[in-house]
This record gives sequence, structure tokens and C-alpha cells, in this order.
Amino acid sequence: MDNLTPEMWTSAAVLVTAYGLIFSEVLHRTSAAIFGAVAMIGIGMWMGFYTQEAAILAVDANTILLLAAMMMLVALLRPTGAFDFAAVHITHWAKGNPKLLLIYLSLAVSVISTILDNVTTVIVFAPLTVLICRLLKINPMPYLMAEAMLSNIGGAATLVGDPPNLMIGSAGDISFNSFLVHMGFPVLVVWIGTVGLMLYLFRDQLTDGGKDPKTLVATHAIKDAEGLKRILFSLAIVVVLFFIHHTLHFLPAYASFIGLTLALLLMRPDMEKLFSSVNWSVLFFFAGLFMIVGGVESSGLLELLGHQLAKLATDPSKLLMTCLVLMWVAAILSAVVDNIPFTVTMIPIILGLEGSGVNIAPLWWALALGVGLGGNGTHIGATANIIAVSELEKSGMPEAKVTPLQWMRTGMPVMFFGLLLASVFYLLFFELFTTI
Amino acid sequence: MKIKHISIPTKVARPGMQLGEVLMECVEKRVPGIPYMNAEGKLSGRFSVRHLFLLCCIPEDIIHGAHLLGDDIEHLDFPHIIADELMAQKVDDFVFADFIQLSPNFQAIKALAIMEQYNTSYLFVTEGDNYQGVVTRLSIARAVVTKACCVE
Repeated sequence: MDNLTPEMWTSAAVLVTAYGLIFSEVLHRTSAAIFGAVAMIGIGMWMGFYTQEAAILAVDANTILLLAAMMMLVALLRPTGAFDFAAVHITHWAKGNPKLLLIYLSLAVSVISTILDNVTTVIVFAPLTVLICRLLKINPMPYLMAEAMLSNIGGAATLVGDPPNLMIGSAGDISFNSFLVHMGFPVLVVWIGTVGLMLYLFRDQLTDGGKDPKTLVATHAIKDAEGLKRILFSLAIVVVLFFIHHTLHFLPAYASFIGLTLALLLMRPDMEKLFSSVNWSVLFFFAGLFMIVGGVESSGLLELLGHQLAKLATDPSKLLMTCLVLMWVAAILSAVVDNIPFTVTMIPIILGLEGSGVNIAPLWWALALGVGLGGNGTHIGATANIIAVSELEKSGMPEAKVTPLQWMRTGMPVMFFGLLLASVFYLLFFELFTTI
Repeated sequence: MKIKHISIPTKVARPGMQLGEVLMECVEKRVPGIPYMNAEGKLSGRFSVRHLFLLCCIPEDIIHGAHLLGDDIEHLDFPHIIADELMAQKVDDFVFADFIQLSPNFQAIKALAIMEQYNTSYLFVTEGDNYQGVVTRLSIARAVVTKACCVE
């Protein structure tokens, strides 16, 4: 504590104030992040530990631009009707079997979430799921909860599936393939385990055999067949580039912009409309957080914290325990507060450990697993959960409403079971996680 | 063409009135909605046929997936028993606070422009606290077709 300078105290106070405003929802989170960034820069300039230039450099442009490009690609895909088409066919394949329907819908949402933003995926699938359940005369609650939780898990598997992964990948210079290899296996184990657990937890609601929903027809699902072909081609290029971006020395953001450019040339969309579909609020929230944490880093506080952690992590016998603690703390915090601020704060601390001779690779994977799996615990733990709860409320079906406590009754077992599976996998294959 | 010449006089919905009675007034006068007058005798909202259907029969998921619905969806349709129950309900739970009122001396062209601006098909004509009627796109169209627009 003696080493703490006034600059460190001040930057920490600004960070705590901004995070307090974000978590308490006194201000919209983006307003709070912008306020925090402006305050941090102003105070930092006045005290001499932060500059405007340093704040701009603190923003991870790779993350922001990649997110923007993917948002635009999704905005081009959505009106083509591809998601509607998939939902109708999934329903037909399930043949009215509630358990199969849960597995198929969750699988579709999870797979899509590995490439596209899982929040958008749930936003698109949620009303379709309610409609399917209404037609089958079954309660949509288990389906929407499963979709939200399993899409959170699915998104954790890839570099682009979840914003925290993007930030971790960008900071740690981790390739798409490396992310998939390291996170894919544990996420697959957790995903399968979670499906099994959900089938058990919802066993009472999944017994009614619904009728084969011939009431849904795919004839008018595709609204723009030509547009769909073009956007799928562009997305395929993006996915291929993700797999080889490291070999080509491309940043993931550049890879996504190549696909976006292709889509823009092939589809000639209305640019005003396309840009209005970008969630600028989220992007500015992230940029604000990067600037706030950049200020704390410039004050030297994160380096100091890193030194304290390094004492633990440099000891190889304690590294595994440190990683597991990080994973669980990240998960539990992510269940109650937004996981992005935590991730953004942890990144410079972990990066700082590298200078102390610590192998930071296992810490990256532990952080990614923790923040990825923790969101399922409560209804506010992840944006996808909030969308599921809101959609269930809008359905007007009294049996479908989920209270925060009801969510926790399923979410907590899912979160802890997932963490347990991930920890066992991490423990058994620790060697795998010691590399990037 | 001033809207006082083309507005359709209607009853107003009042606290405690049954939904069936209010809906019947809209059907008979062929208007998409009528104003709601509170216990103090002031216009304080509106009853809208469109919003009634949105509230009680077509949840958002059905609207979202309307193009995917087949013909075999009888169970989603209005059973008579539900329709009867609905019509017996009080109108107060189906009142929206937002409504637009225009002076009777407004020109029809201004009324049409305001309808476009607010994405609505009807407006209430009032003079002070006095409610005079509803002006709709169709009532304006009728005035044009029947040359009633030249009444002045």
C-alpha cells in the first residue's frame, strides 16, 4: 500500500466511480463509460499521468472495428429470412418432440453464435421460438432459457463469438484457430453437459408431446434469395479468412472488413440504413472502458497489482491454482455484473505479468472460460438472458414468465456445473492451456 | 376544406363502459378509434381498434412470424367464448394516454400531413374541451369523391 501514489488512487477512484455508475444503472452504461473516459483524461492530464493521445491509443481498434463489421454483416443477413428458414426447418425436423426441439434450437443458436454475435442470434430466434411453442401449445420458457444459456456457452468457443474473447484475442495476439483449439474442446464438453442438465432440470415441462407443426411453412421464409446467396458467400469468405488470418498476418478486423466490402459490392445496400443498424452505443461503451482502463494503466496501478499477482503466478506449482481462481472469480463476477468491464480491466494486468516472466497463456484461457460461462448464473449476467426474459414476458403466456429467482434456480446449477466441467477439463489438459 | 365539415361525430368512451359497447361505436361509425373522457369530463386518452387487437390477440411473435404461418392455425384464432369475455371487459384497461386533437378550422391537407407525421389514420377534432368528432383518411377521401370538399 505504501507504493500507491496519488495518481494511482485518483485513477482508481475514477474507475470505481465509472464502474459504480455502470453497474448501478444510475446512468446508461454508455453514458457512464463516456463520462468515465472524459473524467479520466481530464484528471490524468491535470495530474500528468494520462494524455489524450494515450487515451486514443488505449482503444483497441481491432475489437471495435471487428464488432462493427460483424454487426453490419448480420444486418445484411437478417432481412433475407435465413434465420426464419432455419427455424421452420428445425421445427419440422423435431417432429413435435419437445426434447429434440430444445436440442435442435439450442444447437442452431449456439453454432450461429460461434461466428455471429450471440445477442443478435437470440434476438432473432427468440420471437420465432415463442411462435413455434405457441403453435405446439407448449411452454416457451425452457426453450428460450436454453437458447440464451447455450448461446452464451457456444459464443465462448471462438475468437469472434463473444466480445470478451475478441478483447482477449486482440490483447494476447491469439489467432482464431488457436482460440478454437483451446476453447473449442472445453466448450463442447460444457455444452453437452449443459444440454443434459437442462433436459433434466426441465424434465417436467418437456414431457408434453406437441403436434408436428405443419402450421409453419417455409415457403415465404426467404424474402431475398439472391441477397441471401451473396451475404452467405461474403460470410463464408470471412470465416475462411478467420481460419488463416494469422498466416496472412491479417488482423481479425481486417479479415471481417474484406468480407464486408465484398458484401457491400455484391448487395449495394442502403448505406444510411446499414449504418443505422450498427449498435454504436455498444461500441462507444467499449471505447470508453478502454480509455478508463488505459488511464489506470498509465497511473501505474495495474502494474503494481500485476507485481502482487506475479508473486503467485511465477511459482509453477501455484500457476494452475491462480488460473482456476481467476476462472471462478471471473465467472462469479460475470454472473452479477457486466463481464466486459472486468475483462477490460484484467487484460492489462495479465499483460503486465508477462514482463515478470509469467507464462500468461493459461491465464488468458482461464479468463475467457470464466467470463464466458459466468453470464448464465443470473438473468442480468448476459444480454442474451435479458432478451430471453423480455421475450417470455411479451409472449403474454402466464406460465412462460421468468422471475429473477426462477432464472437463478436453473442458471446457477448451469453455471456451476459448467464451471466444474471446464475446471476438470482445464486440470486434466493443463498442458494444452500453457500455450497460445 | 376545413375538417369541421368532414369530421364524423361519435360517442366518447367513458370510465366503466364495456369494451363491446365502445367497439360497436367504432364499427358503426367506421372509425379506427374514439376518445376517452375521464370522470372529470376531460379527454384523457383514446380507445383504438388496432391497439385492442395488438393487446389481446396478436402478440409480437405472431406479427414477427406472420409470413411463416400456415393455414392450420385454428387454435390461435378467436374462440367465441374468449371474444364474449373480452367484450364484457371494461374499456379503461385498453385506453392509451397519447392522442392528437385538432382545431375544427384546420385544413384537411394539414390533417393529412399530421396523420403522416404521426403514422396514424385518424385524429380527434376538438374546440376547447368540446369534442366534435373524428377525422379519418377515409372521411377526407369521401369528401373529395363526393365533392363535399367544395362546401365552402
